[in-house]
Amino acid sequence: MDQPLYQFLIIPAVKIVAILAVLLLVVAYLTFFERKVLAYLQVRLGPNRVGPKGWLQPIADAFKLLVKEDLIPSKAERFVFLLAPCLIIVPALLVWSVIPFTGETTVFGLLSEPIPAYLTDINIGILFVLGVSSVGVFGIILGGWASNSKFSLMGGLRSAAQMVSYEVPMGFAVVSVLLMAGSLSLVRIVEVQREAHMWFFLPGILALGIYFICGVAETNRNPFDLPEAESELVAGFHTEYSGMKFALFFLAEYANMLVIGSLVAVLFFGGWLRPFPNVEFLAFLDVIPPFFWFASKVGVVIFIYMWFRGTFPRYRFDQLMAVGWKWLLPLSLANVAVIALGILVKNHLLKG
Amino acid sequence: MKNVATVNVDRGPIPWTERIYLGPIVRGLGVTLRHFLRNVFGKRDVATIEWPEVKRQYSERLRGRHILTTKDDGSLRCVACYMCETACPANCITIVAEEDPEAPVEWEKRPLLYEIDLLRCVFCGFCVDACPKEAIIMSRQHEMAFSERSEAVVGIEELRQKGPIEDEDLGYRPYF
Amino acid sequence: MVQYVPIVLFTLVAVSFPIVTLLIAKAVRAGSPHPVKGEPYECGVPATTTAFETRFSIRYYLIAVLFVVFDVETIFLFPWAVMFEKLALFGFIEMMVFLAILLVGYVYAWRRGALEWA
Repeated sequence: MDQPLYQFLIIPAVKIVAILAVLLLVVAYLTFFERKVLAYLQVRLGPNRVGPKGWLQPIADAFKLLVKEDLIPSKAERFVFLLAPCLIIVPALLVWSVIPFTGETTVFGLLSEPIPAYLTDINIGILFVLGVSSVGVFGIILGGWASNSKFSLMGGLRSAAQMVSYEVPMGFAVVSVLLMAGSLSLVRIVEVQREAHMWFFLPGILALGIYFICGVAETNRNPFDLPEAESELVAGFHTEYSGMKFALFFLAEYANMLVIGSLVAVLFFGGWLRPFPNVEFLAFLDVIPPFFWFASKVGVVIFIYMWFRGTFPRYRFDQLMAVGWKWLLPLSLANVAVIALGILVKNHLLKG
Repeated sequence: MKNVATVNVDRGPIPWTERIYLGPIVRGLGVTLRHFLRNVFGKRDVATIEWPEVKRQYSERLRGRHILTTKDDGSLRCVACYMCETACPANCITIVAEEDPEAPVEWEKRPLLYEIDLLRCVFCGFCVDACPKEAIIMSRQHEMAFSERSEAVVGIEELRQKGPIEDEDLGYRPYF
Repeated sequence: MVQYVPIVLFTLVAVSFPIVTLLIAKAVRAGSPHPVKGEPYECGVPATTTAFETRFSIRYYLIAVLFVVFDVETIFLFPWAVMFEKLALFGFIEMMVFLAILLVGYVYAWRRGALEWA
């Protein structure tokens, strides 16, 4: 198991296939769950005809998008038009290489020695995630510009301006978590939460709020979905896309939602740790595999995404930018200062 | 219009506790959560009607597909007076009249050809209102799907009343 | 450095994923092009100008520039936050001075109207 071939090719290849397969399946069924959850929130039934109780709906949707005709608008820039969905899905998938799903696992005893259940753990984990997910903005701008349509252009510009404006408070919220954690590596952040007996959402409740709101704005979801709202800009930057390219935009949006959910779970809620991880009294809960805790935390965040979508009206664009630049930025800066002050007081001034 | 009494409805500036809007946000979230939990875990109370297992009950005044009524001996009541064709705002009725040799003078005319183009029809019921013999009424059948346009032009054989009048799903008609 | 090898592998797989999917879709899909289908959407009227000649507001450029400034500030905050345990009071005061300088710039941008309506 320690030969270089195994270590560098076989094991990562198996993990990559597992991550991609599970991710694509989860993203496809996330579209189905979104429709069902939104429907029940709105006192109606979602899709329940295709397959038993509607469970084959995402398969039908995927098949439809695969065989649908692919129209390229006349006078559109063909190469950039083809490149834009690739530019948006590659970062959305690449981010998953560093997100930790559980700690060391033996896959229910199938393996002789435990292997880590993430692809790799680099020492700049969260920086890699933030940097790579910012590349997705390229895809949006290029997609909006390359389709020869004024709605797409304005939608793409607005969407890109919105994503870029909300990256700044998101960065500051992550900085306040790093103050408490002391490392950029995602696995180490979870370990610190276990050692400190405290999940980071308790002192960082404001950081959690800011991070989640910025996450909702980053993925262009309601209440920040002006660039893709149908009555406003007719689906914005992906108006002129059809067929598989549109499916790639869609996949990228849901994959980004899952990334934000996973990061909320890892940064603020202790990743794969069970509640009260060091309390002996609850040790009987250890029989539940840690992946279940991670998945349920991500699931709660995704439910809150859909809950927001079913409840709120959307922000007008200038209100949206005002919230990002005039409210969240000073609030997150103040949060960084307060948390730094709190750590200083706790560590240095209270001890002696 | 200068000395009209006015009421000042200005409530002053909105306090900041109202402007951040957190209260209504939480209440709105509570409403949708309550709907979600009730529909998923409690008594399912959705507004959806699961067609075709469950169909809506329509009123007896619904203007659906037309029926040409018959007398007791099976012949049409229609006397080809052209009232319905004249009254129709969509010009969808086509009638060609012929003479019935051995009928009494009240029924001396009958339709040789009576066609309604159901794709042109706007289902307004003017033909039912115009008919002096109660010869055309409307049923409650509204589910009509055609594979070709030619299937939508229906003649006497498809429009004629089949069986006793009580068996049809009657809709818009005079004196019901 | 050895931990980056799986990421390189994943990059290769992730880059090939849209290419393979689009090639499969190209082989499978229906195709009946028609010039009417190729027209861009403009609420039913024919488009007189292309989108490449559309003028858009300079505010988007301002937002991009402001983003670059604040993102560099965030980058400076990252190593400080990671090393905060060792930096104690001196590091805290120093970073607060840095943030205060940037705050002056932020207030200037706000008062000059760079953050309006964009």
